Amino acid sequence: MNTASKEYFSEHQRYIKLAAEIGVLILAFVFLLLPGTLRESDFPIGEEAYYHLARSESVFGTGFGWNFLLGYFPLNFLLLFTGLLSLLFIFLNLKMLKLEEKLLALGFFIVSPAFVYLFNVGERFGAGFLFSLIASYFLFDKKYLIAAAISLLILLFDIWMGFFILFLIMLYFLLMKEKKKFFYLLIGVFLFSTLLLGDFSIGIVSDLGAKVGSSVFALSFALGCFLFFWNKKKFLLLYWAAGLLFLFSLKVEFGIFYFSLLLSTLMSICFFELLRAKWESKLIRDLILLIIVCGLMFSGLSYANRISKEKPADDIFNALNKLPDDAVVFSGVEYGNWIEYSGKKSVWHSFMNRDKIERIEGDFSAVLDSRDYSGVIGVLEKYEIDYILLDDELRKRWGESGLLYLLRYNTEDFRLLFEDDGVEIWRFFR
Amino acid sequence: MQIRRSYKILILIFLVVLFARLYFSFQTSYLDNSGYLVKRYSENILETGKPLLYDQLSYNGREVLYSPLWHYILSIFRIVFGDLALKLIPALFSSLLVVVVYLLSKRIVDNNELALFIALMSGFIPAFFINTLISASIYSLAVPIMFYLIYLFMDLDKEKVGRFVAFSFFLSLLHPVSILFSLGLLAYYLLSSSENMKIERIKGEAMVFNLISTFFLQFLIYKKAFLEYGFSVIWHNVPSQILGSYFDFDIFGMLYTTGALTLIFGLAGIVLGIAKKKDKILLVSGLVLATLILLWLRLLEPRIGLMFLSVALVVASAFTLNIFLSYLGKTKLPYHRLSFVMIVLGLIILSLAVPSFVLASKHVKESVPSAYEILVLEWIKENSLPDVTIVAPLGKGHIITDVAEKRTVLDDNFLLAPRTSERYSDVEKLYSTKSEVEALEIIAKYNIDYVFIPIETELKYGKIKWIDDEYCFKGIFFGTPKVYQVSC
Repeated sequence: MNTASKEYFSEHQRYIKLAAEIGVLILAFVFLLLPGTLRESDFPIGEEAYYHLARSESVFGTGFGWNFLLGYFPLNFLLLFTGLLSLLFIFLNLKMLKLEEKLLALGFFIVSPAFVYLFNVGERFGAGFLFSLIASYFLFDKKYLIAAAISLLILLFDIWMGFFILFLIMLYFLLMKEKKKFFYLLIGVFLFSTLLLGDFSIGIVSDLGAKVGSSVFALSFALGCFLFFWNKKKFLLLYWAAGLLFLFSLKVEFGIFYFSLLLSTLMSICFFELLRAKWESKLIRDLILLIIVCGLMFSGLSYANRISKEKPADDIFNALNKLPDDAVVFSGVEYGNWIEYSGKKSVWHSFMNRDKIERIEGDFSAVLDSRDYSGVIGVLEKYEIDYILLDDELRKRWGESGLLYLLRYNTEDFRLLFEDDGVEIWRFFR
Repeated sequence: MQIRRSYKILILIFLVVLFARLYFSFQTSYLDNSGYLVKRYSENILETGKPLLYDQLSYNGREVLYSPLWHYILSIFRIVFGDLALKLIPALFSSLLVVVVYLLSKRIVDNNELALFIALMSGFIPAFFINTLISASIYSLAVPIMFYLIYLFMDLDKEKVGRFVAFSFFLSLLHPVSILFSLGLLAYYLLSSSENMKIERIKGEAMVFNLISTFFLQFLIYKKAFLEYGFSVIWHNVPSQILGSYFDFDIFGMLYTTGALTLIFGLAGIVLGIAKKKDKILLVSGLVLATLILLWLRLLEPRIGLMFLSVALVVASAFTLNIFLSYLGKTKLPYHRLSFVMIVLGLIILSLAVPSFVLASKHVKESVPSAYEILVLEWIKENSLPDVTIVAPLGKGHIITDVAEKRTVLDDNFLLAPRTSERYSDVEKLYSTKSEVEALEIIAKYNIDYVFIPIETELKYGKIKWIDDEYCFKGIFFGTPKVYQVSC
């Protein structure tokens, strides 16, 4: 009887683990497919993907590895595939954790805005992130050369991401070889350069409107963990790493992805620590843990919903498709990649060098703010503009003065060609 | 037997307070401006069963964001009592504060008579009395619940945890002011730690739960506002022109609306409580501290902050009065003790009841629309097209949308409202400008069909000159208020 019961329970445990694994897999599919399902348009989300799609098969431009892959595989397939593979490698990398901690960490990462962004918006970072996970898998397996070789591959997707991973490998290597002096020196350099170079980004919390960031609940939970368990040794390294990555995320765009992963791991460990701790009221414990899970889910779901409503909508491409190929179209900087994807030439786009963007911005500030006819025409002619694309957002941003004023009242140089649901195309007669 | 007697007195106090409230609130058949907003939201629930999410009348149509729990509660009572519920139910809830304060004071001082006296005091706190009279105010429920939570927290045990959790959730769902309670608990934790006082484990757990649940629910309800404004959400999208004065804190006003003696005895109670390391007083002090900090940082509207502050001070004054009464027993005044005590207590009641009644009768006269105003708005409702827009000053927005059922350019429900600063400035300019061209530009910008000119506006800006152009503006009403129809 005893033996039967034991067997029953061990089987039972196995089924629970299996159910948890299947649950995490379903969750992954849900968050990988949800924004696309909620989206009304069939076009990819955001503007970044269009830069790469416009250059697919090409081995030039930013993230040329990703451009190249897009030439051979559909974007949606690549995003789903890299997303699932990333989760597999995260699972394999977290071998120091218990199964339930691993699964929960995966769950927390899946519902994080960073994951939703990485594998739903077709940017180059998703593939880079996957390769960095593969590299770390080999690194933990002490196959340093393979790890370094894979890290070099990341350079094809994003140069800075590649250097960052190589730097992490070096840190790990120094730590393993117990060369603590060099290790701390490098950490110091890292901290110093993170603090001093570049500008701080204030948008790191997705719930407060950041483009991609952490959930406010994840950050609060991590802070709570720190306050509760600050004296626990096993958290010490994680806190340090999380602190450094947090600072890094404030400066570097892709930092948030690694920070979110670390945060998920930290939260998972902390969650079980809280579950096992002695509580006076089990009701309060269960409710607190439930609220934490609900909060994280809420952040993830609301972020998925938010990005599903991101531009572009069909009407922008409907308008652009009416124009001849190679025509020069002027619009907002973030519209540039859509213009180029549709086969037209854009004055500017967000992947351009920052100085160049600022220069163009300087030229067009006169166009957008003043009613000086000759000044406006001069700038439009300098950039050989044929068409102007406008929508509600741009009209609101640019205001009624400047170019919009001339479009309305100067019928000699400008003519409205097309208008649909707030999207307008104006012809400029050079 | 003793308990029965005190309960009888408590019921009597409750009835006296309820009667006083009903007496003042039924002096007028109207509500104040914010009361009309609550009325309209609860009407929508009565008609459709759903909260109003897109308000077609406010700001010419805009999204609205609020927790509809209070409006649901009022709607349920309106099914039975009709529009009477808008005055009756808030009066009933706010009168319940005396019961909560009685329980709290009894726990602090263990003196039944004194607790009853404090309960009586709490019934006539001017700041709370006038703000919950004719506005169907959500605070009539939020304030008693918050102090009930403090009562539960004082001697929290496993038995009370369920109730604490339920009411904590309820308060968070009811109104964002639940954040004040969470901050009060946090301040209590800091005060206790600074005094080296150990907080019971179950209280620590309850605090963490309260913090997390409040945080979560506020994010859930106000997600859109957080996304739209980020951290600036704390300013509620209040127009920049009035932001400075919106949170202005007037010390003399505070003395009057809190009651000078309450303030003195309350603050003394807090100081003595902290000095004597009284855990229960520390808890009340936490709330006082949190309220003061928020007021100081201009994150809490003084009108609202003072409600919580004055109730907390009344509760804390129980501690001072208890010390005072026991001190009197030790002096050589035993023969005059009763008369002395009666004088002091009488003074306290006078310092609360007199301002309450004076302010209440003033509030009831000045804050509601006049019968003529209502007549004018009802005429517009009957005699104009359904989609016309009326321009009115900030303080009249909700009255117009409810009574006339027409669109307005602006009202004081700022959260998620479009371009509040610009609209506020345009409306101010419209009433103050001497240029008809400028006025017509603003009229065209917001598609204004009627210009509503209440007497307050004329007193503030003087006579509006451009309105005399008979070609463009057709006078409809010439009393107070004046109403002109735009015809060009």
